Amino acid sequence: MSKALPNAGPSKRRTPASQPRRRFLNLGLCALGLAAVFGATQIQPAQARVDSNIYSTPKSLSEFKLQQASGAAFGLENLKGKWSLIVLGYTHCPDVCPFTLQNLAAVEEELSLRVSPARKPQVVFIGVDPDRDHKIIGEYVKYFSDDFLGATGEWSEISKAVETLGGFVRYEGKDKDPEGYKVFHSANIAIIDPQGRRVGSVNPPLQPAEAADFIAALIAKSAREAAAKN
Amino acid sequence: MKIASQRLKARIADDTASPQWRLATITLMVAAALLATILAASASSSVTVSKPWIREAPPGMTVHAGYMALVNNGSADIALTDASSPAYEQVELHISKVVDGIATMQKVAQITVPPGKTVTFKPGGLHLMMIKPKSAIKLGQKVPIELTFSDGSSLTIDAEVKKGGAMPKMDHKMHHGPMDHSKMHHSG
Ligand SMILES: [Cu+2]
Repeated sequence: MSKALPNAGPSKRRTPASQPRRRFLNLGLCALGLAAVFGATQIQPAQARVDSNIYSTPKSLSEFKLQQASGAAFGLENLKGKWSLIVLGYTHCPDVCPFTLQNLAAVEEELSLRVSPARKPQVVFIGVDPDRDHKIIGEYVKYFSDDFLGATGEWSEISKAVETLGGFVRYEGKDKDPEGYKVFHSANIAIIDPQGRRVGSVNPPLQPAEAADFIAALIAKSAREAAAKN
Repeated sequence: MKIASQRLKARIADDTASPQWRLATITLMVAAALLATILAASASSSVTVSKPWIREAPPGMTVHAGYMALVNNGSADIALTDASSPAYEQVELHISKVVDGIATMQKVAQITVPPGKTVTFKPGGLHLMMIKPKSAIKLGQKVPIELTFSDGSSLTIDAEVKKGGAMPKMDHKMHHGPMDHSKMHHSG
């Protein structure tokens, strides 16, 4: 079984966390200078950027019907009224998925220092490999954070979710190795606003503090815009 | 060596036999220790391994990932060609890569370390794919892994099971590939 979905997102662009480009460049030069003084191996903070892709117009999502580990339904409804960060992955992914989820747990911690609990995004891991994910997804996501939510379901519904999230999934060699096959999947983290619209994505690995600044700024901007409309 | 010498002391203290017997015992033990040292040296070739670890896996996972840094102290290329562990049914050499936004993972036949260089296995890049643990793998456990190299030598390392870091020192996006050695703090 193999299913490929086109990535619907626009071409990728790297966005500085918030500064205008000029200022950003200056910071970068400054950081380079510091790096030259302190030894070049440990450069990072000031000039690190959040690798992101934010749409000029948010994209509405279409319906999909998955289940949470508890058995409760998980669909569009669960993405409304709060911000969400959604990752596609599979529980038998030994390297990339645990790394991303651990990374997100750190981002989440930083976010809770920046936004009110009501605005703090829920982190959702969609298990795109239901044969192996179904039984263990609940425990799997809890390992990374008590607040993380895991959801999976029938392949037909997963495929709908993946498509509307602009993602991609492909099983590698499932026929040859029904136990140990790999699953290739989108690496990015989709950002969904409280209207259930996809506003864009960020790409791991994320510097937790920088990513939290970036996401908090996005949330604040959206709140300001909503307030201006009313 | 340390263990051997401790045993030796204990042996001498307990021993009530003749001086000749004592001397013979000491000679034998020293010879054995020397032999062990020589064997270890010839088996380890020019590669040293630093900071081997295995990511503690969330419950239910039957594939784990191991990381380390390989340092080639020799004057010629050397390649890691195989890995195995008594704690797992199979160990493969793998690389994770993000290609056009898609996270992929591939098996690699061998990993070459140029002379004087270090190749670092780390999350999101090169890893030892540890397949099907034979029994539960616990945090803090030391898992032996045997590494085989292109010159026929082999090396057994103990990889500690640890929680993965949320953000291992950045950053593969900036300028480092899997061949990066600038972040290594090896002592040897
Ligand atoms: Cu792997």
